[in-house]
Amino acid sequence: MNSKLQNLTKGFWAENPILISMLGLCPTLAITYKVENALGMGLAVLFVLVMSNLIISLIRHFVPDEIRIPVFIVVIATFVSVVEMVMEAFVPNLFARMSLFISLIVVNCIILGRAEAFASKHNWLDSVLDAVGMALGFTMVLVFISLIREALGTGSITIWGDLAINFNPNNSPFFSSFYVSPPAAFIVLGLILAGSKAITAAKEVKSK
Amino acid sequence: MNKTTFKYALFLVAICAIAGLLLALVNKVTAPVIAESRQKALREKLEEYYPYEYYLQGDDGSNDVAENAVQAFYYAFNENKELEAVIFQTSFYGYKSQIISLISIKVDGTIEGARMIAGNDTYDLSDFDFEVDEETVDDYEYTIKAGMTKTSEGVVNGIDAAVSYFKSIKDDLGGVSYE
Repeated sequence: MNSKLQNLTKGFWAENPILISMLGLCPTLAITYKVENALGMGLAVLFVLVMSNLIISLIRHFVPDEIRIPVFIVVIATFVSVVEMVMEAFVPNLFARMSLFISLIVVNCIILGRAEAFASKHNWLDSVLDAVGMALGFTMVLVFISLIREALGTGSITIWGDLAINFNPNNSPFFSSFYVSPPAAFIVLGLILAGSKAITAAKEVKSK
Repeated sequence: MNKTTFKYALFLVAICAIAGLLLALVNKVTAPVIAESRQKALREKLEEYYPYEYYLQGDDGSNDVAENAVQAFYYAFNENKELEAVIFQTSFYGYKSQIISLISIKVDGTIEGARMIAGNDTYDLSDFDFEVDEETVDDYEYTIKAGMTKTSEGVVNGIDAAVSYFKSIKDDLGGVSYE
């Protein structure tokens, strides 16, 4: 496969930050009770990851090795602060629900991990492609988990703001608020991780 | 300090300065929007918690960012444009953030209610109800059903500040009109 395409797509499955590397599990468990939250977090991580990978890749030859981690943290924290200000201004309700976890993007291992493992060693284009792939892989899993939790927990899916799909007009007892509770986050994530491991194992057996 | 350490420190200072500049630029764009949306949210909360016909801000709002104080107050009027209550916006420290509250005191000195409207303490756990039973500013006790103890302290301090402020302006309320 073309290396550029590989940089973009490896985050979808082969090096998916949640399913394979198991990074960024804190927001994954905490905010996936609503699809809107998952999309908001995904967009925030996409912006921070792309911008920090781009800047770190561009300045990598000038940054002394001994202080690279503090420099990476400053770059990442700057873009996280930008995201916080923009979200508070333009999507205040979403920001009120997620502000704690938006701040925690600064110490999200996916972002610092990609800065250290990839952006500091590759050119800007590869770094941006890597960032886009990783952020999309992260977002896809967040949305998948939140789809299951919100649909089973409330009988509706809130896509963004007032845009929602309600398939439980009669308040059926089939839908339980348990699914939007924190323990359900562990259970759903555990089942998804087990499923992804099973698929990976089956692929390996097939390739042999 | 050796030369290398000084070079590293200088590099970090330069990076921080660039980051600060970028944040200042973004803040310049977003700050007015944030202030406007907070004002809108405040108005909605005023109308939801203390539904009166007309409201009039009692000051110029210049104290809006003050912490551990009464930030602003609003006169609330009935349909005949008669003054019914004074609603105070207070900000006091809770568990880990400033807790913004709206405390309404009727012109006769009865405490109508106290509601938390904003704060960055743990989301959803810091909601609470303030129970008032015809308490007056001269002799009041309150019962608070709270998910979080430290958060409610922010409101309790707000009530005390609002009562104190109300007493200081009470004698001038007769001259307040909506026109």
